[in-house]
Amino acid sequence: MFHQDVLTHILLHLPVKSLLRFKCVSKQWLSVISSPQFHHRRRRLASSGIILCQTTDLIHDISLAGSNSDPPFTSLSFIDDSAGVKILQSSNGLLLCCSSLHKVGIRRSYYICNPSTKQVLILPEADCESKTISGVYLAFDSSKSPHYQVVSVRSCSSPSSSNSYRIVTYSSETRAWRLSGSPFAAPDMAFDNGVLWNDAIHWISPTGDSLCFDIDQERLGTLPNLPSTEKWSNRRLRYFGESGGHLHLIEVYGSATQFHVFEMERDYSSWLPKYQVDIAAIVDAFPLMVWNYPNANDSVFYAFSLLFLKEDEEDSILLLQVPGEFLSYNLRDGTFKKLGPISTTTNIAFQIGCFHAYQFTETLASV
Amino acid sequence: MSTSTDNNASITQESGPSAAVQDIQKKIVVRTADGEVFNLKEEVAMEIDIIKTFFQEDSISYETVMPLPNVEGWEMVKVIEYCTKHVELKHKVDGYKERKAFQALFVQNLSTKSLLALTNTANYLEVKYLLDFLCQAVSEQIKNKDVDYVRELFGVENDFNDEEYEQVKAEAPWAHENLNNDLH
Repeated sequence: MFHQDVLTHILLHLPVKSLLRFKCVSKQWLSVISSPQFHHRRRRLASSGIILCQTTDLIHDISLAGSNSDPPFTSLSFIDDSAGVKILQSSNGLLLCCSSLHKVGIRRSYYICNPSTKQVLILPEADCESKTISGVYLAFDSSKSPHYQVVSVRSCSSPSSSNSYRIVTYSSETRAWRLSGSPFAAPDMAFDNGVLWNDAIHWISPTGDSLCFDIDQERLGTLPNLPSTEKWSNRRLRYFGESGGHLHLIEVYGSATQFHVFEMERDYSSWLPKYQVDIAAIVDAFPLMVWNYPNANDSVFYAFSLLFLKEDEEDSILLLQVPGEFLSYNLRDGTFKKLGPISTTTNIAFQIGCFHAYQFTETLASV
Repeated sequence: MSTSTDNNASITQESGPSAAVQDIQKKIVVRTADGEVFNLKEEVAMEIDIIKTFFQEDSISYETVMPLPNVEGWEMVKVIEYCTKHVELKHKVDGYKERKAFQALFVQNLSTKSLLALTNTANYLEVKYLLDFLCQAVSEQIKNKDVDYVRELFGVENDFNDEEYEQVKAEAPWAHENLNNDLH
């Protein structure tokens, strides 16, 4: 005669593997563990961390940065793809991956997976005229719905309309694709580095134009202009991402050691400078960062990669990679420290830009 | 029934209230299901919500012996032990290590079955922080166990037929492998 509340309370503290096994205990246990309320309560208890992946087309190593506990998963080998897979995006514990297979004329496979439960779904092909995929995005928010959506931006390369795009959306609820909105033109836009925020996907082009697509309303819009830069003609976007419900943008020009983190207002009114970053102390500590241009007009280039900006109530951290090290920079007080040890199978000394970081939370959600 | 160690529980047969209160903290008296009577310091008793609510009623005087028909004597001893420590650590600035050491000792001689019973009791008595701790302790002890062990521990019947069981198991067969099934 066990109180259901107490049982639930005990179950909430169990790791995913135990929970999946204990579904077999009885019908009542199956019902408790499978319920959306349980998933939601558990998610709020689970801590989220950051995973690091190398993008040399195969995932060699995935390590959890900034935490002392075991990494939530260390490989995606449960996805059966002979070429291996790479992670495109992480959304509340579900991952969007694609096959590393790069053959011309053969369509890449896309997967939605939950590494905690080792469930995989091969994304079915959309019955759409435009076959060329410019960008794919996963939208999943378990606090709003147990279902997820996948947004795919397709380019139509017909003679009459160059630079024409189409968006199709897949719903895990209907298990079907639907056309979203009408075809649109977007010259100079790159659709592979969009950011999901506020139930919309946002893209910024190299010239500073922007586009956003509201997933529920299936409508396109734009972002306010980026902060002005005096003498530079091309934008130097170094980071564009979301964390803690905020959209952040970082541009770094020339050999500046100081730069701003801009945050977008929720009402889309403007980009506000939220933090000032000063990496001078980091450059002093890691001289390997300094690369001199051959035709030295005293111009230097600092080699670093901004991997992730993590923002929550407790802290605001900028995760960056410099030659040989991963660092976490505290945006609130300007201090920084090394992260580690992070095991990699290859020498990370000069592979700036080969790493990607994703926020990850354990979830029991089904794919 | 286990005997009390160095906590505030004492087994007495008080029949009437003591008139001389002076600088002695007020005591609250409870009686458990097996007839044991416990004197609690007021500040410890107030950690137990069900007791706190009972004595906050206007018509109830502190002289009343509160019955706790769902609680065994040994469980009361453990609850008092935990709450007393909790009150003590409230006044300390950095009690983290001490709390951790205490918690480890607290569960040391308890079987998992006893731990479960105590968890139920903590829920009934409404001591939230004790319930939180015990739930975590129980889950820690069962996380690597197999389905049969868990059924036996919780006294749960298997109401799946073979086919249904295999179906659920097939959703994640890897979860049933590589268990560390040490007997407690």
